[in-house]
Amino acid sequence: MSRVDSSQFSRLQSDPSCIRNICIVAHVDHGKTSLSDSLLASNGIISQRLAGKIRYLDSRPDEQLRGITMESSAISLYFRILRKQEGSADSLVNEHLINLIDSPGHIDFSSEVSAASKLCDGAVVLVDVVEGVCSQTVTVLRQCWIEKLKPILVLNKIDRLFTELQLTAQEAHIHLSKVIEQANSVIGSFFAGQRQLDDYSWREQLEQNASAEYVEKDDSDIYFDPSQNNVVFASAIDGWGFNISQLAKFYEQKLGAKRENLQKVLWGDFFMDPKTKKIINKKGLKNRSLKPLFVSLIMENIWKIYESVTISKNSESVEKIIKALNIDVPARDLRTKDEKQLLRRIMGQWLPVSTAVLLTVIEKLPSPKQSQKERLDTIIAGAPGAESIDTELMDSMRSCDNDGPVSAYISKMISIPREELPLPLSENHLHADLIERSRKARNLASKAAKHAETLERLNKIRSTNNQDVNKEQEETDLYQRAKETVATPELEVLEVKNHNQQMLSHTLNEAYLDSDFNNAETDHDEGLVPQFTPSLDPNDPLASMFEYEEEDPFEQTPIVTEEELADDLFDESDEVLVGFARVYSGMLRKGQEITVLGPKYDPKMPTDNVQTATITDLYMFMGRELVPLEVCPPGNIVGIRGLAGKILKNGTLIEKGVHGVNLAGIPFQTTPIVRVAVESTNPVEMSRLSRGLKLLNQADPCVETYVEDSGEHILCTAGELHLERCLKDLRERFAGIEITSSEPAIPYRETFLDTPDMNPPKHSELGRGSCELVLGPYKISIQTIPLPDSITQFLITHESEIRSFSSVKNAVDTKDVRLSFMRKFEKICSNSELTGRMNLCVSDIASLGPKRSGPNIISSQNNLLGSLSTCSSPTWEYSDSLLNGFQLAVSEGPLSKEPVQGMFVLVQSIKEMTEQELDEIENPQHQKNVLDISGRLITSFRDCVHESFLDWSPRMMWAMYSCDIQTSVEVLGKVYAVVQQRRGKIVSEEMKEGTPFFQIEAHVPVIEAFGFSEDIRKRTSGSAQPQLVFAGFECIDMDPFWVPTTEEELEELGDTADKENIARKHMNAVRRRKGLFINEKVIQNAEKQRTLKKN
Amino acid sequence: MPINQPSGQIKLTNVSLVRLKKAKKRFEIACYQNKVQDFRKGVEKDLDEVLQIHQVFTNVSKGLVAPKDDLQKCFGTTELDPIIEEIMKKGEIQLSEKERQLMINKINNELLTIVSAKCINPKSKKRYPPTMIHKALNELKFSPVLNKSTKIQALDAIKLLVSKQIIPIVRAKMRVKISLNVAEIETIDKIKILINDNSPQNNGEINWIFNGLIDPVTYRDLVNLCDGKGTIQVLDMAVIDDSN
Repeated sequence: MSRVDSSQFSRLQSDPSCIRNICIVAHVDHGKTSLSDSLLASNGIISQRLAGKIRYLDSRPDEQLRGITMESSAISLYFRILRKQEGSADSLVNEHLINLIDSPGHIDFSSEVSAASKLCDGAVVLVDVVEGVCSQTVTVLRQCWIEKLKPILVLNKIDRLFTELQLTAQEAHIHLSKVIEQANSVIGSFFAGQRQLDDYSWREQLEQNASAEYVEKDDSDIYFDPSQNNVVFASAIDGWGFNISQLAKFYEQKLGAKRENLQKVLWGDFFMDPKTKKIINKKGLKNRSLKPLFVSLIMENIWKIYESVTISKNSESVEKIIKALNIDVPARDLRTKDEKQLLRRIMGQWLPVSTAVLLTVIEKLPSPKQSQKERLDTIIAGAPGAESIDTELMDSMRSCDNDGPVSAYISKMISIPREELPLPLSENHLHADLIERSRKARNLASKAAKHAETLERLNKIRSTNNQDVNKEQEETDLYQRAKETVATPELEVLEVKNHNQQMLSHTLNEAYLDSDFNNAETDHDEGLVPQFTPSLDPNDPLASMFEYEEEDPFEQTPIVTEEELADDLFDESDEVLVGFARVYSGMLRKGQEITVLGPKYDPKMPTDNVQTATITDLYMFMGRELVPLEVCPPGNIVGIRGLAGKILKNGTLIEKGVHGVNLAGIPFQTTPIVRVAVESTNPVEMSRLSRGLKLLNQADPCVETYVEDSGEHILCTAGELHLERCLKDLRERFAGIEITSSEPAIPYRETFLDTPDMNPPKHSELGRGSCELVLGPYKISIQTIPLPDSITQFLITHESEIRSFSSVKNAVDTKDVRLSFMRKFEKICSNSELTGRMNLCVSDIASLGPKRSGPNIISSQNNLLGSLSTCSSPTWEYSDSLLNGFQLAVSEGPLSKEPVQGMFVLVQSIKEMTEQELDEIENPQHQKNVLDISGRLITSFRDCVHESFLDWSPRMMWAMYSCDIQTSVEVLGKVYAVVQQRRGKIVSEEMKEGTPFFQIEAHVPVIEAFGFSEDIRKRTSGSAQPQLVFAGFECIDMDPFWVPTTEEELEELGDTADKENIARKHMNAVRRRKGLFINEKVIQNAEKQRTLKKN
Repeated sequence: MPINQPSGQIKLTNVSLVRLKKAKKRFEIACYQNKVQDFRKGVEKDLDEVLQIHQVFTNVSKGLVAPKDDLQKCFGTTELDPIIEEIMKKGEIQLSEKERQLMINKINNELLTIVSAKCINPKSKKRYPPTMIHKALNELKFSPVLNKSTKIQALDAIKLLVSKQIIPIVRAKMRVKISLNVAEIETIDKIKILINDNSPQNNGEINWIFNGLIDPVTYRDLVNLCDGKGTIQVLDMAVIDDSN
């Protein structure tokens, strides 16, 4: 842990003006984690030597392995600056607490970035100078713009300009200014967009009110400008960095110029006239080729160090440089063969990157006090029902008030393995169990003690306020007692609890064991933190242990059990959920009861989506370690425990009884788009998987999980990489079992159309789609007709309504719904022109299907099968069988047993045949008397409906995604290519006003969408980001049974046209999955089989 | 001394025999492997793709061609095409490896679909995907066979799964509506035993109506009981919670 005492942290935490909450954001691999390493090294958390290599904040093994950050992590840093005060010799010491959040750069984890940015006041935007501004840089800059975070720019990896690109100092200067220009142009485009919006709203206002005035906004302070000191030049890997003001100070003495003046001229086109020694601008240059000051004073010096250390290895000049810079390098380092190390040593001493960055952060980024004042309105504006928020709360949030009502925003829940928590319960499960049990025993003992006077002494100890004395006394006491009894009592606790005398010794024994563990715990901690002396530090784990003891969990039994129910899922596991939160106002205390507002909370309805929780622990984030806290003042970033089961992903904490603001109502930018079905490899462990999925859903802000109708567990993630991480998490942490993932089964629909090139109808005399069913004495003739699209759509959209009244149980209660629906339906039917052909009369409709609520209709005349609208009972005795047959027929269609939609079945007549007619039937297999006619009718009617279905031109319908893609002009063509390649079609394409972006809407079949988002990102280098939303079913415009018939077609496509017929391809795929008959040969050419033993 | 001369000798490889016994005579035809099934199913229509030699034998391996008299006697014709077709359709065949594999796959997939459709997880009231059922059946060492119908095997599989409970699984209930005339007291009593319904007779009404869940196993009995006396209507084949 840090060199800085954590008591110092807690002192600083209470003063919001010296806190800075920053997040480091950048494109992937631009050096965020390396930079944060350097910052950590400045606090002594890691050694200077390792900074930039160890990637301390990448705490997951797979993060280290892949070399990319996957989860944002936070750490608190201490930084002190000495400021000279005018008029006094003493310099003023300014101490600062910097809460740093390192965020991932990969596009899959954008949700982590947006979660982090919501907690911060400022952002450090890193740009790799070689790669320049990349797609994610634009994204994070946009994020900053939207969140109104103040950015500072860090130009990282400047060393690469020298070592890799081998630019001269002057070229490097030009290169750097170009990179800054790029970044500024991005910001400029946001500003322009904003301006355009403002302009529109102004014009709108003008129409209503002529006096509205257009307020021109000043954009000068939003750009990056080195002379404004919001740009840092750095090489995190080599440990150096500077901003202009630092160097201005450095050259102040050397050049004898004024610092303020130097500050202005050190960047930009300013030159030093070699004769007059005066600084001139471009005008004064008069065609002389002078080098800008930035080059001659800064870049060339750095270049020189690089050159003499790494290339020429000239030890003399190195020594000279060291002397000139007035820094101290030990001789051991000078002699070293590892010139990189020497370089780091020199540069790190001359221009340490941590100082440069932290100074800039402190100078340029606002403190919570300042930023909450400025940003609060933007934060609140996004939240619903902003009007009805408590004004007191608003004020205290604005002023970051220590004493105001508590409000905090939780941006995500992170799941931490229990053993990594700084709890006394940590060591492992066994120990935790032991302690838990011994605590129970102690409790029993204390109850017993009330009766047994002999325990007086122990009671006295417990009531002592001074914990340390308590501990010491207890310990000595315990040692004495321990000698008298033989240990290993905890298994007997339940048996002996009635015997007070025995109880006492047991208890004490356990307490002894307990404290032994405590000691082990302390030792363990002390190994890491030598400066942690248990007697002094209030945050010592032991102290919290004792407090825990005093809380006596059994006194509040009713509350506990209630909570246990909710937390059931989370308690059994080895994972602890900690909320990642920013406190806006008021002091957050351990043990405090607090109101939790869900993301759907609306201040207008203050009773919905509200829960109460007790904060069991507070932590300060220190990278992978958590440091326990007692209180947390506003303006800080803090970890909160005790919210498991209360908050799913994000939410708001508000002091009890205060009319709160919903800070979490602002939706996240990214939605999950990659869907897979997950399963445990061993079917027995399925329940663990579903529990693991629930945990994952809570722990990751950008994961969605649900169970499909087919029973598949679906996991939606933001990208392939994200998916990999989630699966790894599931395997190793949340479920702890082997799992397999696969493409989810994709649903289809079947329908049929009326097309001009159909085969001749089977019963030409009766019309297309007609079919006769002869069974026993009955002859049923039906006809199927395709439903017009409007009716199908109407039925699909009203499905839930239909379901509510079609279930037979509550037929009477839902009369109103039924009637109103029928009225609407009648209107639709009378509107559509096509219904004329099938004389659709709403009163004739017997049922809908499948499941009595789908988009298929069966109707009969004269109430043969009953009527849906009037609820009248059917007149034919076997009508139930027919209806069941219909339901079967539409729930499993003839093509691939997928549900049918858009079918209208008209039962034309049902008649009992006379003897004579029966005799006339030619079919020799016809039975006159059928046993179980009602059962036989079901299946035969289904087959009959299917037969007439196939008389038309059948179609497969595939599920479609509607896909929104925002993309820039350059990659528009590539987006089109990907969409077309995946059989999608572009629906609309619009230029977004005021931005260089296009908004494309496309429809892509779900089955082709697997890997679509990955593909589109790859092809466009990440600058196009698709969002997929399920958009219903669409016909594949091809008859799955179509084969080429004309000579031309045969010549072109062969006699089966397998490749061209997508509909058949899909139909066969589904049939194969379901084990149905497929019209495909096992072997194409019998002659060509190889003569081997196995074929 | 017989002289074996190679001229006119035809060697067949990859032969798959189809045999038919008719009128105590045995007839064989020589086909290609992996083709006979396709022909029987109607996927392959070209006879030449199936037959190696357009000839009917009494013994293929010895090259004994069936005499015309026998053909005339047994099939009533000497024309080869209809005879070959009959042998192909009715004769016993040897399944070759690929065909067997395909059949097993098909039966397996169908079985899994049926089981998946008929069973639910009693905890979540959701179906199990076929892949899960497959894994569970593998665990129980259940493998489908070719000579039983898929549906029967599926029901066996369900019985096995439900009895072993390696995953929590039950047969999904069926929702039915039964209505009978109150006069049919005997039938009603019988039905009540089957559906585990103990509610008292609802007096005053003409019809006794039951609307609820039954075990699908009892469905057939219920249908037989109701036949001609009342109606039984299936409202839902398998009750599954399909809300998300």
